[in-house]
Amino acid sequence: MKLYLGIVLLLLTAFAKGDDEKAKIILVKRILNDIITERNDLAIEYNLYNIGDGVATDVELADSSFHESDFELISGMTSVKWSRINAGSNVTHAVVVQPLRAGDFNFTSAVVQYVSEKGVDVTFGYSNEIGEQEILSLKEYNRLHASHMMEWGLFALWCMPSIDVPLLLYYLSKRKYSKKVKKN
Amino acid sequence: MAPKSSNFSKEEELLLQDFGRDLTRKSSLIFYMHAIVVSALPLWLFNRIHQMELTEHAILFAIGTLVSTYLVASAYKNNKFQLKHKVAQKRSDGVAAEINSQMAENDSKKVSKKEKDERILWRKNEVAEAESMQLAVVYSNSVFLILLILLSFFFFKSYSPMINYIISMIGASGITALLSTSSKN
Repeated sequence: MKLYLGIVLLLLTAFAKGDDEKAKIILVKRILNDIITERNDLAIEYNLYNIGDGVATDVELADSSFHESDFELISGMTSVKWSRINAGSNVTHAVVVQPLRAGDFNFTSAVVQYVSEKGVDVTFGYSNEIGEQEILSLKEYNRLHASHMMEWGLFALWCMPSIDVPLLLYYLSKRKYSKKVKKN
Repeated sequence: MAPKSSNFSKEEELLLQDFGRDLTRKSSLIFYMHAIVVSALPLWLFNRIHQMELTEHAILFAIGTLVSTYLVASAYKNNKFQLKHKVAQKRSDGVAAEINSQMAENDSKKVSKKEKDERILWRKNEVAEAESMQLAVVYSNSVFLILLILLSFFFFKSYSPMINYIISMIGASGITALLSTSSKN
């Protein structure tokens, strides 16, 4: 009897430990563009993964990298709140901005704060740091990536007299003297 | 180099003029006009595609165009010299036929064989001169433009526009001139 009671108490203790489960959030920040250009949309994605065993509550994401002097916010918000993120689940948030200036820019980390378990202080976490990326000017982007079909077409048209006119004159002369040989 | 001498006979001087590298004033003018046009054409590409302002880079463009003009004109001269003899051989029969038919039309005036041969030689030289000039221009222009496009838009695409222009223009015109100096026997 005492043995069975001991086993039951042990099992209850094991289950009671479930109440102390903590949430742990990993924040991943990603730039979705291959090329970042001045005055063109730049999409940034934030993925929050709760890899802990508990529910994360009062989750707040904030990214202060995109100051209004350097970027114009097109869609989404740079500060977002979620009331809870369950254990083992994830949420995604996207923001679209437009760089106002060309040049190198340092994309720093975003910050997430959340309550990992009841009665515990707020926990802070940081995303990965993307680092320095080049923002191309519109001029440079057009130089490297635009198709320039019209420019090539006009160039081909203007090259034609330099090549076709002498070639035509040569063939006219050649035909004239070939005919004379055939006549004789 | 043989010193200039007035001891050459008229025939020898004619032969030297016909088969030498020197160009007449008219031929030089034609060559330089073609060369300057073909050297100026890439400015459009560098202005519109590489986004180089004409006013901002005026001095660079002027120097590049002049250097390229000189090199391309040299290529014309060398190519024309190599092609002239081949063209003269091919047109020999046609020119002889032309002179014979002209003389047959004017059969009231008897012409000596020597005079007829001289006329054929003169006319052959004239035709070969014109055709070899035209062929030299076509060939050199094609080589120059192809090289320029390859250098500027493939090999050195990611270089800064100014460096790209210098390397492409000097490279394309230099290689065109260099290729023209090779002799094929």
